[in-house]
Amino acid sequence: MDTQLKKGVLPLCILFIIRREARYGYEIMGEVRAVFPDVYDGSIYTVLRRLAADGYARTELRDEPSGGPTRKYYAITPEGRAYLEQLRQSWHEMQDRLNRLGV
Amino acid sequence: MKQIEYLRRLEEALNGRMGPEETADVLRDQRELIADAMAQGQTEEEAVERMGEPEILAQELAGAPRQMERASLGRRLVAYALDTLPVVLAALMGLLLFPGITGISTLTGGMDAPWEGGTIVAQELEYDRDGQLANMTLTVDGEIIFQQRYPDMAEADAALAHRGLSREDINMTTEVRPLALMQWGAPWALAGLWLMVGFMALGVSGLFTGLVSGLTGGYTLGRWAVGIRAAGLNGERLSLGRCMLRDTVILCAAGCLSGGIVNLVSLCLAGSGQGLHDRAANTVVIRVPRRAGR
Repeated sequence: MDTQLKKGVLPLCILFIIRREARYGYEIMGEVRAVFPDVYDGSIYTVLRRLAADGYARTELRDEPSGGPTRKYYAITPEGRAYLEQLRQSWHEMQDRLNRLGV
Repeated sequence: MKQIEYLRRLEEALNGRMGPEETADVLRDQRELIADAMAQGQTEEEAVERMGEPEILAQELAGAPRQMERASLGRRLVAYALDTLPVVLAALMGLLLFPGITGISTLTGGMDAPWEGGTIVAQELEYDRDGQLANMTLTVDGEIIFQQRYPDMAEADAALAHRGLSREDINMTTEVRPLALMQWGAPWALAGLWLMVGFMALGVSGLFTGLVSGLTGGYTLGRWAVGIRAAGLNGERLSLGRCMLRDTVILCAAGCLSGGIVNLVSLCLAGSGQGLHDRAANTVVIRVPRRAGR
């Protein structure tokens, strides 16, 4: 699959994955990888970081219970929710248009 | 690749792209992700492999380098002309009005100056009864070469004194003594003098340019007008010292010595690249995106 196309939809996928509850990095990557097996973890991490920097997600370090590792959790913000809605609409619109073209 | 090696390369690639705190945070995240992957049964190599090349990740994390459009030669030349011409022209105008040196040219109104000297055969100085207004007319060989109205006698006297004359000379035949400079090939001498003043003006403009550019972050009036600015290699703001080095020390010095020819050649050779002054200060001239504001 085209790399640029995939990278374009990564923010949508990630915001969608964290829309209900905060998730940690490896979990998110696992879900993305389930549908895009050939995306590098580094690329997913980059998008995660950018979403956090842009205020669409906030991060929190949590110690896992019983002496587990410290993990960074990513939670969606209200801005992220609005952005997710916008991205979803764009995506559906894109689908419609391509359908109209007969692609 | 082992985790240690990967993190080392990532840290190295991030160096200079982001601050130490952010870098530390990225490295922490990477350790967590690799540890989680290994906890899920991947080998260290596999986990690292899945991250991709550390250098590419660093580049993606830091974002694409800012697009900088180099300023075209045309814009640079227009900016240079806008910055230097007014000063040079002002200096040449000043020279025109400078008494003593160009006294004769002022006396005769400039262009058709009698370079060989001449004989003033008639001079008139009239003033009204209370000496408030004075009209001065000078003629050379019957032709009026100068006519001026002065608000009072003192000014008329000063104007006469300017030309080495006094009230006693009125209506007497007076030899206009050309300056020695004027006697041998005066037009050439004058042209040389003008050039000299022009060069000095270039120097002054270089000093001015360096100061203004240093204080405004790479702008001069000319550069601002055509939407370009001087900047560091990555578009960063220049310090006053760097601007002075670039615009004053190199350009001004070269400009004074050569009458701006070195500047022009250096600019033309540079095109949209680095001129001598750019190389000395490690700078470039870039377009300023309209939207980003000036």
